[in-house]
Amino acid sequence: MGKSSKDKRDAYYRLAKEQGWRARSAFKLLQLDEEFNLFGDVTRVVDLCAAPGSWSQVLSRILIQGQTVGRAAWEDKRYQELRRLREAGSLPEEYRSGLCAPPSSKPRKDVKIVAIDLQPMSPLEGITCLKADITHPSTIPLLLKALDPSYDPMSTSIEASHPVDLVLSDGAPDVTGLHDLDIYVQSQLLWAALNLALCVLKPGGKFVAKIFRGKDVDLLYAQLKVVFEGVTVSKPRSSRASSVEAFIVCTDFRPPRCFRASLDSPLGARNTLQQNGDKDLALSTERSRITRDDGIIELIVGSEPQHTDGDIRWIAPFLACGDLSSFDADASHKLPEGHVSLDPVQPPTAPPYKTALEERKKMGGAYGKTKLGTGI
Amino acid sequence: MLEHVEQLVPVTALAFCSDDVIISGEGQYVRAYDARTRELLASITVFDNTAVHGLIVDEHQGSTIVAWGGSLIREISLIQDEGASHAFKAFALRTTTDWILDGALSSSSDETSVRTLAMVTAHNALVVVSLEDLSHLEDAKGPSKILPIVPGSNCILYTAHIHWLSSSQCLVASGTAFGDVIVWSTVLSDKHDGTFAATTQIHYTFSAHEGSVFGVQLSSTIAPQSNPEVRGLLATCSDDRTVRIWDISDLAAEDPTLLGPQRETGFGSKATMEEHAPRCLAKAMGHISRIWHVRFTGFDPADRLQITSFGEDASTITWILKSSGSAVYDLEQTNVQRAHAGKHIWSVATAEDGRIATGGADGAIAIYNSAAIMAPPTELSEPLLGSWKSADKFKAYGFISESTIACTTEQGKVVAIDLQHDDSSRINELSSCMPNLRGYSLVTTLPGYAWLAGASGGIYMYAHEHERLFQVCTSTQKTAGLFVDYLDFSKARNEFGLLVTSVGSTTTRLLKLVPHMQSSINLVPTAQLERSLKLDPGFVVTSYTLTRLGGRNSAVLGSRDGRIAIYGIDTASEMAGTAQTSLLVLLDVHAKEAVTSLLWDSAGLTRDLTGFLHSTGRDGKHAIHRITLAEDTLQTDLVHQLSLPFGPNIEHISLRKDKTFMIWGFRSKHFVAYDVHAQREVMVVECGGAHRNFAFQPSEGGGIFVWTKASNLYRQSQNQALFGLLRSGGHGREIKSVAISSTPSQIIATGAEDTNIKLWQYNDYTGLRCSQTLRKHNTGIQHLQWACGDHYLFSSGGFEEFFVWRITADVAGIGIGVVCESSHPRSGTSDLRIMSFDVQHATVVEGREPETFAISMVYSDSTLQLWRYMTTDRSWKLCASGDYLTACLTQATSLGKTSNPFLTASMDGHITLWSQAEHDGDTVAWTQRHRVHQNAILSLMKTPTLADGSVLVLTGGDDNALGISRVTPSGRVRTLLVPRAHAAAVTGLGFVGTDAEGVSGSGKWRVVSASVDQRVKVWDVDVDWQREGVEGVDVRLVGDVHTAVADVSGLETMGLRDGGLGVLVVGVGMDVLRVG
Ligand SMILES: C[S@@+](CC[C@H](N)C(=O)[O-])C[C@H]1O[C@@H](n2cnc3c(N)ncnc32)[C@H](O)[C@@H]1O
Repeated sequence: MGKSSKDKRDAYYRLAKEQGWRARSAFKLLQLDEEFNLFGDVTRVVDLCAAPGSWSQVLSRILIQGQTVGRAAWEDKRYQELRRLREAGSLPEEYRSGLCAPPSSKPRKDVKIVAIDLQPMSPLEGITCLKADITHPSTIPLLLKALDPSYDPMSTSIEASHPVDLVLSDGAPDVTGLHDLDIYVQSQLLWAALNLALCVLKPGGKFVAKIFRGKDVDLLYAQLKVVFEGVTVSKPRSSRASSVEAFIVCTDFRPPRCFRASLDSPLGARNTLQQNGDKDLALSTERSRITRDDGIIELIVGSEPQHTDGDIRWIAPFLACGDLSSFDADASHKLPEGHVSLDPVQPPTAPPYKTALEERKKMGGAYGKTKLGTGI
Repeated sequence: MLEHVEQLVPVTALAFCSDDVIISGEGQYVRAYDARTRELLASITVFDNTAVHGLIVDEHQGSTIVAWGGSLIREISLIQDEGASHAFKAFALRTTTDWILDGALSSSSDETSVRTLAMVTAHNALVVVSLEDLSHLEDAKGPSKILPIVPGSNCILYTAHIHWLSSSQCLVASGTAFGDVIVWSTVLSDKHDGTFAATTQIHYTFSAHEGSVFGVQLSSTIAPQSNPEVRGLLATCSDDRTVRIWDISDLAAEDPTLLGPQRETGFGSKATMEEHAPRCLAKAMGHISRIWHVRFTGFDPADRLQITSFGEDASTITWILKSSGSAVYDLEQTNVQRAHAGKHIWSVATAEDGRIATGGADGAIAIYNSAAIMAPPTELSEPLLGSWKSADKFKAYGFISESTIACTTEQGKVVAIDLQHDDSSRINELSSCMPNLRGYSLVTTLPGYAWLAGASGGIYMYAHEHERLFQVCTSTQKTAGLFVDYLDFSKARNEFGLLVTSVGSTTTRLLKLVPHMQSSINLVPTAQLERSLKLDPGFVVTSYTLTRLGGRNSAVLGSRDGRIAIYGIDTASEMAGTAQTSLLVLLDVHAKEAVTSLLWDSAGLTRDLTGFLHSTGRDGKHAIHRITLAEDTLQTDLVHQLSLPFGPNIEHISLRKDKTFMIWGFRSKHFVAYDVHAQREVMVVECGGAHRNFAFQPSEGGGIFVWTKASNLYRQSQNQALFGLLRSGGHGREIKSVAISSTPSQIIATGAEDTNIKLWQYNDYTGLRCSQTLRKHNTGIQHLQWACGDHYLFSSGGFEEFFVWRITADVAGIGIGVVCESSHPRSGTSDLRIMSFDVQHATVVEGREPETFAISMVYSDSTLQLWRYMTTDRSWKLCASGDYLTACLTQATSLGKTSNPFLTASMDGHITLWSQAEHDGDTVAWTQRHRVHQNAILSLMKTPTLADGSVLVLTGGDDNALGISRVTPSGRVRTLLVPRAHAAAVTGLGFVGTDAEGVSGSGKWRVVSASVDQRVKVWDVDVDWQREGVEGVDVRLVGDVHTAVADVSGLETMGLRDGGLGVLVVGVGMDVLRVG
């Protein structure tokens, strides 16, 4: 796909380039923040699976530079046009919400941001970038050391002396196309992130992570509900409706009473959190009918948390985020008059098959014994 | 409430069971097939909501099988009762703590000793259990967990292979997501209380690839033939597109630096590990995308080690490990097969005898026939033309028997060449040089006979049985074309119609050749009658056939510019000198490209007034006209015209003995022979491309192909197909849309990301059978809808692609005929997607097919367009268009019988009502928006208009919710929402039963929903119309099952053969469920 047609196909791709974000993912975090106010009172943050670093850029602009990166800062003319219409009183209700003046903010004190990824990441001022695998146990001491230089890596403690307010993880594997496997690998990344969060998050802290909303996602929701008071699954408008990607927003961390994060037996498919009785109750819903403010009748069909094969399933409430008037990631957009397609802020990292591509080019478009490799 | 009846999903596990039985894992099922008859022998559900990802068969007791998927394990056995019918028996379900990557049963010399199952997990843990321990019957306490005895690490693996070195030691190779490979082994001792003790050592840990390692395979027994020093081999394959072979003979080597806790991880931090790497013997590239599996597959005839790799590109590549000097090796590619459609080979099985089977994402299972791999083509010229080779060359030729060609030479000789045997072809000179065949000659053949012509002079016939060559007529001009067909349709008597065209002539001669009783004891036919056919200007004949309809004979001619002309040939020959004109001419049958072959299929129709004329052309298509004799005139209808999966040079169609068709032609540098019924290529030969002389004689498993390349003659034969399909597959990528015709025929149309549309038929005997594949879209399909029963199908995709397909059920020989009647004038003009559309008949005349369709299309740029399409002149007219806001529209439906009022749904969760403004005819404006979902509405369905004039609109959202909105005639909308209907996006909805009483004011619907969470749910919706809005609507969940179809994109309801109701769920595969 040509650059320009990608601009049309994906408004967020274009906006990201225009506004200097390293990836369009920045908008996902901004839109999650719009709904969940993720950054209120937050100074210490861990950004997992951070490369190329657009989430870290958001953190940097908001926490370090004290900028307001609200919608006002990134919406463009089309949006302003809608707004003008609204002022003429012709837009329906939901377009009016959330248009209040952005809260003013200034640089915060004692900001600490640590970003981790497998891939090298271009530095960002004020942010500690680590190159490490979040599923590897050696990453825990690395992270603790980065958060707190006085941490003794030889000590056996794996709890942060100065815990953080927010742990983010946008990690995703290279999907294979074998859905069961992709969902499994993604859940392992989520577990690894949660494991790190359990070591560094302060009680009451927040955890936001990418999740694949596919088969058995309700098993994961039920597990997260054990350690967080609030568990909501959310889909930013900048994330395509056609993708299984969503974000789990967990608030109010409640470390389980006798839980100690452990290197030897980290959480994961192999080691799940035990539900206790009251939690079980919290997961059940009763049949009810509520008339919402907008007149829609919500019918909760009612369910017990389902125990199958010893697994507990629970469906977290869903909340779409990002204002309805913001761009639809699936829509085609007309490009503004005289549009010049920009280069991405950061070139994509070289794929592992780079050598293969070069080799193929050398051979004139085919590998080794060309006649067998093509055509058939 | 819901019961699975049939499914076609990715094949994720495979194993050879006994000589003739293959078992597969397809979704939650394990199935057994007879490898020879392809019959399904037995099938069992092994896991409730998990797919089978691995299968192993106990070699000692072929009937014991272990299946695993995710972290679940179950032993099953395949039993054969006295009546020889097979059945599976299941033992208790067991679980372990993690995803299982591979498993192996210990081999033991004596059959009575304890067999042990060892498995490696995705975190490199080892799980061990005795087979005995698995063979318990189901336990009420639920599955018991088997804990690992070697704990493993935290790093995630994509692949592992476990191999028993002895009855107490296993060797493991594991590949990580970051390109590392670890080779380790464990010695086990059985503590005789059902547990084992283990001692583990690591032999190698090294960076093997630049990308994730997806496949590893160990061998401790085979070695490259030239080097007995190498006793252990490891093959690996990866994201980086390479296959690599490593020497792991030295298993004493133990890595002392068991990964320290402070090791830096991530890409590019592996320098310290290199010294524990084994020697890389060879590496090679061949696949164009990721490589999922690699296997050692025995030895080639020269005793060189064979390796086979299987990729995301759905191809299977065979390599040989060639020694190129002492201890230096090369991987040389020897064979490439593509048995699967689209992408991904997910499962592989190898048998001891060298057979290989693969399972694809397309649901197909292929068994490769290594014996059928063709030797390089043989060149015929040299040994045959002997000393006069330099002076003479083979020119024109055709088959006169299964393995004999009649051939002319440059010098004008006529020879017969027997091609029976690969290496020793025999040549038989039939005549010495004939002057008028020198330098220019043509040959046409039928079994047993050949006709030859050249520059002006004699036209000859050769009868193979009598080995006689004689002149049948003369020509005063240079012959431009020579064609022949049987005059006698039973083919019993040697009566032929020979068509001769001359360079620059506006007529063509049709000669009737019948056995000449007086002159010959051998009944060799000679020319008896001749008529002259007048050609239209510019009509250069490229193909010809004779037809008979209602006792009338006709000659049909195809031209170089896509025309087909039909001539009546029964009337007494007119006055000498006047040429006969055609009865009718069909234009642009193959666009403006050559009609390369014509075939008449009277299809054994009893009335004999209708037959089918097949044609192939260089436009890449196969076309069929139905020709009917009605009141003394011929009527033609184009009933089929589809692109083939090769071409554009399609050269010939032939009818085989079993009444199925074979079509052949070229794709770039290859000759391709294609089985129309099985929809598969049966023979592929690299020959250099389309523009050349060639001849092909099809046979059971392939055929003999002869071609000219650089003035030399080559031959390639194949007598066995290179692979057999145990089970035919479906789409090569995920299905995006489904529509089932509401006729008794219930034609299922599916459109997928692979840009194809497939038409299927389902019945209880044959299951799902794909009868046509429609290849015209250049983008993934967005939406499909039937109209006029099963007569019209409409399809939309990206790039504004929109096509109208005319469908004819019951076309003899091929089943369903398909013609793309028209494409929308804007097709391909922009990069907008037509997300959905709704088709209504605009005019309905009683007893006639509608001539006008009103089509409402919704676009990705938030616009709506209303079009009119006329079938009579295939014209399109834009009636009105309108803008929504900025969100992509996803669904379109009209609420009444016309497109006014109209309803759309969109990515912003709203349903919107539109009406065509009266004063301004060419714009539509939305009148009402109503928010139902938080974001994208991905499925929508409506009830018929109810007694009070209102309609219930059901919607499924990306927000996991199910919405039920009541829309009144005045446009009032009230919604009831079931928020957590599924755990993921709700992408399919269908009604499976209704019990609505409009008058009494109450109704009941049974609704099925399907979601990306891979659950299919049944809901009872009760409605009391007397009550305001949706106050009287109630919903209850009554059924809930798993589906093996991932990425569910839709569902349709269908009738089952026994009168029951079913639903078809589509996505990555297809799943038919019965609703109880
Ligand atoms: C979608 S990108 C993150 C984009 C990022 N949030 C941004 O805004 O620029 C996913 C990242 O996850 C990283 N990743 C995947 N698996 C990982 C692992 N095991 N440890 C650390 N990072 C991982 C990948 O390298 C990739 O850069």
